[in-house]
Amino acid sequence: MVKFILGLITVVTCTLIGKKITSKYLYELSFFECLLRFNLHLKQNLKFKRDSLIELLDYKCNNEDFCTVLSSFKLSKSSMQSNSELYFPSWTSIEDRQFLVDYFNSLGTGNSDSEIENLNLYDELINEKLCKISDKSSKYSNMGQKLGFSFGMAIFIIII
Amino acid sequence: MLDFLSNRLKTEIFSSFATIYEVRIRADKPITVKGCDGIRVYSKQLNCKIDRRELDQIFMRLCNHSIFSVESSLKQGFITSKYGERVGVCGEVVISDRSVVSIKNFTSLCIRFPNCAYGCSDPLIKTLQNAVSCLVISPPFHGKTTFIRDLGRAYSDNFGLNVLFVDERDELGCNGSFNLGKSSDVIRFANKEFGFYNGIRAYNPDVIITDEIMDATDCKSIEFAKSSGVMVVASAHAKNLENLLKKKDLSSIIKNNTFDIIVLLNKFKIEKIYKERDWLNLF
Repeated sequence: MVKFILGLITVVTCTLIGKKITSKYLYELSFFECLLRFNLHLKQNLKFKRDSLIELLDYKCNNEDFCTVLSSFKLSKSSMQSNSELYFPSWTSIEDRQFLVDYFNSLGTGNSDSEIENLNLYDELINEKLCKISDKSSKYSNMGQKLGFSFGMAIFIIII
Repeated sequence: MLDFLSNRLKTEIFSSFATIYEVRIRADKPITVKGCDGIRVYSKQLNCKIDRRELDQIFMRLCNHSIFSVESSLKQGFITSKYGERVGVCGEVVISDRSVVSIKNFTSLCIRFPNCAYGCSDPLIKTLQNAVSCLVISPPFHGKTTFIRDLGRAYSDNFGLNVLFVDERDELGCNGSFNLGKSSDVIRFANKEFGFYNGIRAYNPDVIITDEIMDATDCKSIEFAKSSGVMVVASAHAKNLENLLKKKDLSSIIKNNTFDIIVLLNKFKIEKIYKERDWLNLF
């Protein structure tokens, strides 16, 4: 009986570990979806209210990492010190970080026409990124869970 | 105030005079401050300079890192800051299809501080039984904007009138920083044509306050207001009445008695109040 319960706990734990390892793709997806919505918010602002960038960086969304990135960017812009560091989530690659730096540094540097063109370009780039992440997510996220479960079952059998 | 400057520059500037009227920041040249030390108004140069790179950074902070949000005022050569300072921008004008697109390669900024002199229009108000249409004239930097702002407030609070401020550069209201009276409305950043025509239709004002009448379009807007039964308080640059009447567009609306009185200011005080017979004699 004890062996059975121990085995069951092992299966559940391994499945959860497998799921956690591959859940980064879901975090990435959620983050860049927020970025896409933020980009759309900027475009809508340009067509109507034309609020300043500092005000727009108070944008709220359901991804905590993205909100923190916006706050850190706002702080770096508001601060008189030019080398304030931006926050990047731990799962971001060097390529992702450079993409974010380029994106936020490109905002607010031109008139409305050039700003719209810039945002339209980033619309396409963010959508491309989302497609790649979505592909990886569908390929690997299920695999992680299955591998974890299989590994857990293997240990369960050994225990039994 | 001056939240777009570094703490170092702010400290230097605010410690130079008791009251500051104007700051001129020129790339690679000493900063010049004009102010009052309690006795007289004069300018002095500070022992600090900034380079072009710092000037660009100041500009970006001034427009809250969003050039698009100040695009229309930038094309006219100025930006109004969050606290109402009017910042004139000098640099290279970019033109496309004969119209100004933007300004780049900034070389200098001229920052003018809005001043509130509560009650400065009282000497005029005491001579009036009712509100009248009034043109305030003086050379630059003699207090026209401060005077008409206070006059608008007095018309609202003392005479109980609905006062509409057509505030083309947000110098009159300064984004709500100044008391414009209990029954006043403000249209900010709109030109006089829009402000007058739509303001009269939408706000039903008793009097419209506006700053710096310059050209025929401004004069036409004022005539429209007068013909609609709305009083107007405005300002114009002129050394004196004779000088004013040399301006073709302005002299025509004065000849038509659009204004009931013309007030000449000299160093923030009323020098003379002209009535109809004074300018009719000069025509």
